[in-house]
Amino acid sequence: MATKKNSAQKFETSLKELEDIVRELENSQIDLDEHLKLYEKGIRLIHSCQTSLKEAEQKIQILSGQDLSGDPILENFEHQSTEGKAQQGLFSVEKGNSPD
Amino acid sequence: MEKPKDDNFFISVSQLNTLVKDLLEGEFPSLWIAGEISNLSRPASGHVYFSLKDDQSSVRAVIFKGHAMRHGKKMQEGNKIFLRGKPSLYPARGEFQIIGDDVRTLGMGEQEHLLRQLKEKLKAKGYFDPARKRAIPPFPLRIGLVTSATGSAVRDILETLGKRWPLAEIFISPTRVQGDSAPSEITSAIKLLNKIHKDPKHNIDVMIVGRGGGSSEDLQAFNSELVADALFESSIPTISAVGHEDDFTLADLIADLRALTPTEAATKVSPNQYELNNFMIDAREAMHLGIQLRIQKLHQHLNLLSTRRCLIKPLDYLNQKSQRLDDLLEKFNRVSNNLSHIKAEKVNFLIQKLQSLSPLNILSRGYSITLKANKNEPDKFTLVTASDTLTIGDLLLTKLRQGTVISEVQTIS
Repeated sequence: MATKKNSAQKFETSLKELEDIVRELENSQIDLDEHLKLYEKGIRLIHSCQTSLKEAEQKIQILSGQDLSGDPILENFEHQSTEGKAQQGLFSVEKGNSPD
Repeated sequence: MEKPKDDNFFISVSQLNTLVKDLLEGEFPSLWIAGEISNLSRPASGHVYFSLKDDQSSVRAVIFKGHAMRHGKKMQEGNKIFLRGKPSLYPARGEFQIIGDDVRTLGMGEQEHLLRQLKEKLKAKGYFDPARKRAIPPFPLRIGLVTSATGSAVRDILETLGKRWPLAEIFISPTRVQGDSAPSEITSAIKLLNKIHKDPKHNIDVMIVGRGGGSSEDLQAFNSELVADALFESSIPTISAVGHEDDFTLADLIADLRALTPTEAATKVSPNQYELNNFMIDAREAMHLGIQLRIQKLHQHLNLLSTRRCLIKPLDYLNQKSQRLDDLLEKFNRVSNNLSHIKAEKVNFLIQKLQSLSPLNILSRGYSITLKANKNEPDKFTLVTASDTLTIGDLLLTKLRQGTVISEVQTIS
């Protein structure tokens, strides 16, 4: 559960960081060394975001109550997506349109 | 019984029934008819058949499938209802009947009145205040669902979230969404999620509360005060998805955001991973282009610099300086020569002046210098400027311009 939370959280912070980097690079007032470092970092962030999306598997649980210590009582919920993971794999290489 | 003489005088039963049917349907507008339900039957066709009666009379009635789906469920034997419909005739049996399309149960007006009152009350308590609407977080990590675990709503939501935002963790807090127990079950489900949410370990970012579409009767739970309170008190931002476009339930009015359907709710709580991906691809292109442009610019700058004279002919500078040095030296020499020239002239002038004052010069004009030899020291001479310093017999030395003469004094005057 912890890793799950981390990956979604990381995604959000990574995305924000990426936005900042792009903004900074567009200003281009920084020296070349710094520029190259930021560029490298940006590419790394994109890669990690795309990987986490590609590999994400939704965790779905039924909440039936709380135990005595206040922790949730959970049970896995089976949901069979009508569209398989295969399709999700398609998007990451090139720009794509949402199927919605 | 006598047969009519004219064959054209009679009509068939079918013709009769059709004529009467057309007459009835043409003559009457749609009417609201009050009565009690009896002989209710719901065959597999989906139509609903019943008799509507009051103290003295009875009439057959039918609600065809389309309308029956919305209104048929709440009809029960013995219910007093208002039926909206048109009088007609069932031609196959020549039976007079009402074709109904809407049903209001008696007491519905009362219910509507109560709902209006509740709405006023909640409004006064600030439940619908737009200022208290919270923003839905753009990247929810945990999404709570308050709905039936078996309905179409949960399927639609999971389907949509699976496509758009698989990074989120989903907690289904299951509840019945219709029936008498629905309000209290929905309330408990909302409260359970809020209890879990209190623990920072299990923060829930957003909660969808809803169900798939249904008749307005089916949505009653979402108009209940219990559910209204639970939504108002929820510390988790809420999205309602009650699946009814026409009516705003109280839940819709209180939730931080209203969605028309469960699918729409799922769309509204989640970022679209395809758009995110496009954003990232754009970002990569922008960064790439940026760095390329920068490198190109630096190249240009470098090229420009490398064609500079000082780099191509580095000795030029030195040569220029050394030339300048020569210039200066020459100038210095010139100046100092000038100076010494002036000095030399001055010296010459002084020399001439000095020469003009020299006694030798006077001698050259015919004058002479007379010296007297000392008596005791014949080698030493004294300048003679007056005759009274002489005595007869003194030896005199006379210096001429050219040579000297020694003579003896014979006469003094």
